[in-house]
Amino acid sequence: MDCSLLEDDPHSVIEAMSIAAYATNSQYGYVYVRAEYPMGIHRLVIAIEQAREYGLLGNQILGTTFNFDLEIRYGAGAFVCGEETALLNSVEGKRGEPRPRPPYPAEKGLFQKSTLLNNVETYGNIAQIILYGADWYKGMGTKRSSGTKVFALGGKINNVGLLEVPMEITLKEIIYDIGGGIPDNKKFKAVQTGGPSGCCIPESLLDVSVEYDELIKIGSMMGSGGLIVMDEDNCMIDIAKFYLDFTVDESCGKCSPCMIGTKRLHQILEKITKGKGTKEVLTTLHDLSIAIKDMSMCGLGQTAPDPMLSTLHYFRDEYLAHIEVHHCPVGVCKELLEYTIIADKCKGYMLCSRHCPVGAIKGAIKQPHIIELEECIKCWRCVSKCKFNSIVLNKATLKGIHNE
Amino acid sequence: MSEKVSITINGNVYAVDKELTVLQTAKSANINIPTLCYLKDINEIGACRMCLVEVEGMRTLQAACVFPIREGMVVYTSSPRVREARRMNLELILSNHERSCFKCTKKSL
Repeated sequence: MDCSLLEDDPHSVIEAMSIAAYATNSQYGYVYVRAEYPMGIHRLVIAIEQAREYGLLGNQILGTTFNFDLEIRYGAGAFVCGEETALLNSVEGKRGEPRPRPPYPAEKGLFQKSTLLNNVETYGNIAQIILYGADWYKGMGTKRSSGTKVFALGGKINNVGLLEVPMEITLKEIIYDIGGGIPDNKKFKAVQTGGPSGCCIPESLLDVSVEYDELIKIGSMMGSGGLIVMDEDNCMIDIAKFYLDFTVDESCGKCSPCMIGTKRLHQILEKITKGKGTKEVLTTLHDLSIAIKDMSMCGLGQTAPDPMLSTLHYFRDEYLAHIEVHHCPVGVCKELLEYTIIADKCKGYMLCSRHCPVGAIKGAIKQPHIIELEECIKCWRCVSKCKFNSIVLNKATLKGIHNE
Repeated sequence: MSEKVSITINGNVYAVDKELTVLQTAKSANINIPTLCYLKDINEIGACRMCLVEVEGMRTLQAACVFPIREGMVVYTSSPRVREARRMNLELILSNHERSCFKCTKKSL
């Protein structure tokens, strides 16, 4: 969404940065943009040149003694560089790793000088607030979270895209009114807020309004403003694993809890999705997550276990299903699925048994075949080979699993 | 003579130089804080997280080797939360480690 602001209205950012520089009496500013946003960068470069031509950047702006100029610094797309101290390191040309705080950027920031660091979206609001006044801005949203927020709506939803809403709006309104609900009349399962380190919010909490405090209260966060909707076909452990996979990749590797801890969490989840988890593992997951959150140096590690923690909290029965009966309720975790051959549909062509790498499909020609589950390595090559769709998913019923 | 500030560690008040870190203050007061990656003047990055301490007013645990002291600061170096975190951290570091150093003759155990 910051990229869309840079693409559509780069002048507002330049103007706001000049105002911020005037307020803090600084003379030089940097815009840190990922190099993966070529369109945003291209338009920002043009906008900066135009601003210089009109005398809105450079020396003696608008005939005053105030000087201010801007420079663009390209990021190589590291997630950790969203953390302010890692961003400062990256701008300085060092490795994108966070620094210990304190000293905070306001005391010792870029090149050891006091630095004002704000998000593009924050700057996007400044010119409007100065133009229309603070009361106009406070009129939108709630008392503690005034103004509007841009969300990026994605996932299993009809209307995908960016939306700007006042912060009093509830998640339900965003998903069902603006987002147009879930495609194919499927059932809503969860919505993940705040990017890869946010939390998965279940249906029971959909009436929560999207303000900073309310989201933090339920253990989530506003973060980057990403909203990813999941429907009944999503396995929450698979989702948690997906997000952890991302944080394992993006962890900078400086401090040990984040570097090693996220990897261990990922390994445990991997075990669960393969049906090798035990009930004690859930306690380990919880304790380890809490420890990582407490020990990590920067925001990445402190929030990395959140998607996993929230799914563990709100969707515990799914974890138990994977662990106790080795069953994935929605049929996503491949290793836990069992396929059977419907005898009526099977014509006995032996195509499946010929392609089975371990010879787990038994049966004579023109006789219904059987899959030997002990031998099956679950590659499901047979499913794609069968021309009669006779090999189907065996959805076992979930019995005796309670939400503890 | 540099400026002195008073800092409370584990309930005792110490008056120390303003420029020190929590780790240096604790050392001068004979309080042991375990460290791994810390090497004075050479490597002070707070990365191994072994020297974590609880600082009142901070949300998370802080690395003592890089945390500058300030007036009226309250620090706990051995609270249950700190000890639990250190144990978990060491466990994590060891989980990523060649275990041969357990057998090494140079180990001073």
